[in-house]
Amino acid sequence: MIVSSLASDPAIFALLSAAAVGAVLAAIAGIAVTRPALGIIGLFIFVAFAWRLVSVLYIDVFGPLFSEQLERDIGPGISAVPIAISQGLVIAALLFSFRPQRLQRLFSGGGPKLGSRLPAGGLDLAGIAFWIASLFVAGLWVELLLSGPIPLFASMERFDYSRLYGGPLHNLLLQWGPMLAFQLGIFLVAPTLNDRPFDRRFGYLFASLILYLFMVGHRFSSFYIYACFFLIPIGAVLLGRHAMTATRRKFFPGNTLRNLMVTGAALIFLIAGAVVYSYIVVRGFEGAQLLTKLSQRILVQQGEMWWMTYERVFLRGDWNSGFAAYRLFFDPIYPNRNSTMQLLMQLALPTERAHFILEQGSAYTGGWPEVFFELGGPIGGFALVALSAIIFSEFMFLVVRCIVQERFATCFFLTPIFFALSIDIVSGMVNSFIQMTFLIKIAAALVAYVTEDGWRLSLFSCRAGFDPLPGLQKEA
Amino acid sequence: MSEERTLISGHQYLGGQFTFLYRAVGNRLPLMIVVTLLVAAIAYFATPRPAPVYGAQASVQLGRVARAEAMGLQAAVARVNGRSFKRQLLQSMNLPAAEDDRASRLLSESLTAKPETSDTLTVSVREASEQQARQALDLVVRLLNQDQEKVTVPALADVNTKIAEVDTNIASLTRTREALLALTKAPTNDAKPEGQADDLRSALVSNMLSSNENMLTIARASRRELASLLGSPNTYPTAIADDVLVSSAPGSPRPSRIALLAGVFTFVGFLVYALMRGRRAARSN
Repeated sequence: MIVSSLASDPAIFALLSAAAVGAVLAAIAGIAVTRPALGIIGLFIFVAFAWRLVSVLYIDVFGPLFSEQLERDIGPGISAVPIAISQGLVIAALLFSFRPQRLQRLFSGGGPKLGSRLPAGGLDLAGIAFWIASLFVAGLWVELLLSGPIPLFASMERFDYSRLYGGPLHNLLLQWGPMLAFQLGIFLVAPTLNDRPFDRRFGYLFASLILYLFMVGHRFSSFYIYACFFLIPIGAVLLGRHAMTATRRKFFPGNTLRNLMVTGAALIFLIAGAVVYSYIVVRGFEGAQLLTKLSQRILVQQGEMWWMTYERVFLRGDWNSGFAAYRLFFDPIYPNRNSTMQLLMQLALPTERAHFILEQGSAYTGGWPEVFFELGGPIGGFALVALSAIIFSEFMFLVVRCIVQERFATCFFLTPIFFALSIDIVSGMVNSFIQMTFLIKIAAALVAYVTEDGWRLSLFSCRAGFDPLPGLQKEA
Repeated sequence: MSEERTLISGHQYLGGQFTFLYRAVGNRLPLMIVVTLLVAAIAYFATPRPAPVYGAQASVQLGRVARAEAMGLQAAVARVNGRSFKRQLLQSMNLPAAEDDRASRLLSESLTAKPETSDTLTVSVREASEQQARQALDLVVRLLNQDQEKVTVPALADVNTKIAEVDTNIASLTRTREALLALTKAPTNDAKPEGQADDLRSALVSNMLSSNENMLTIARASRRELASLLGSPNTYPTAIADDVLVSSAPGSPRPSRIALLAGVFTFVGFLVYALMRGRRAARSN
């Protein structure tokens, strides 16, 4: 085996891992610099990718390291190479789906805008969306003030708050929050598609949501996921400007760049404050213990589950597709949660410990691309990774297309599917794809897409003042 | 372009799409519903009923002999997960090793062991019947005990040999003690008192008795210690530690689910077809 022949020279291990990680990080940095709009759209996966890569490289180079969660030593090795290749496949698929010629075709259409083809009257669509979202957010705050202690002031973990005091609106937010943030982002940027400024009402609603999450004890992961989904529509609009112009001034008109930077800085400050508060006040860590916990959280926990899969599949050749599929799709411990991490934790930990952690509602970090290598082995795993990358990138392009073409209804129905695909790419969740509810969501999205497409066609192909559906009237 | 004209009227936007949908479906809706129900009913009755599958799980405590582990935890886990163990298990259950036999396949694919605590492992298995699942777990325990016999039998024999040696020693010491006691009680009527010699003999016998007593105490303690090694806290076979948990494991999808899926897909298929026709009609106008 190649690995064993290299085992005598850790320097080669380190060089190989560093080269693989460096190549992927350079590709991400290249996208951020040369195609910032695509960088914003893919921020959710790029941050997760970069963090995991750094963690895996740390384990490879500085191993053997003790993992607190796994209660064993992990590393050293070249585990960074296969995960870097997997991530490289996703980046390549994204670059292909968002290739410049395709974007040119998408954005150069010009054509009449939706608002100009519809008679005015009544509440505008954004107004309806704003009032519905406002009612929900206001309800959340009222529920928080009435339901019991505020976790931030009571030094309470978010899990405990959700379990003991979380009301129906709070639970609804936990389930659908990132998708709500995505919708808020769409309505924030919608006016810019007609050369009007951002609809700031939705920005304030989003800020209110983030503040609520801060109050109920959420830290990095929630802010990260909400912010990334909120930013995707902004990236979609900027993508159009980037496709049509190369100058930075036109790319970020007016105060857009400044506003984005101020918002980003505020969010980073809030995240840092929440993390520090959680570790020092809520959990009471200090001194060397605090440093150990932070190093475990930042540098070890992100890559440790990948290390376990790498060791099992690549080093020991120990993988069982049938068993993995059974545990993932048919008999997970908690069928309503991500079964991938349940499988990985069952494989990596003593049964009792895995069950105990999962019972608390907690789970370890990672899952993608681990799940595909557990299913397909060291070779077939790459094929499954490539398939997931293509599906994700093409779907992301579809979502972006719907945003820039003002297909709000389709966007609404595509959001849960897009969310499931994004979560799959970051945490390897695959059991959601076989749920009946997911199939119904796909069916609903398909019907919404065809309906909106047909309606738009009839709207844009007839002259103002005429019935847009004369043929249909006849048929009906 | 005025600002008003760039706002999208919610009424027009949502109402327009609902109208398009309604007109596209039109009077076909009853037909769509009837066909959907028909397809769902056919799917329901045509779907083969899945054979039941039972999952059984148990905590197995590994045996000990004379306080020592008969088999290490990791070794036991690796042994149960190994192919040869599964083959042995199939033979013990009188099941063919062929892949096409459902019970054999279920057993081979599902038998797994995982460490639970420092001396227990979780063994889980799926079988076609609850009885077979329980039997498989019992046989796993029996096979593990058979494997451990290579260690337990010599270890037990060794302890028993030591006990026999200690028993012999105790018997010898007891006889010596009785002889010494006899010496101390021996009548000296026919002998003349010899003063210092008698005192010396008494002291010697007393000293030997004391020494014998000590040795006997040590030997008996050793006997007790050895006997305790064979007692239930220190020597026990591998056994199921708790109740076997048996549950009906999910097999192939239920007919009702298949029927629902078939119905949903049929209805959506019709709907998309109707919408596509509407789209074509709109384009042609």
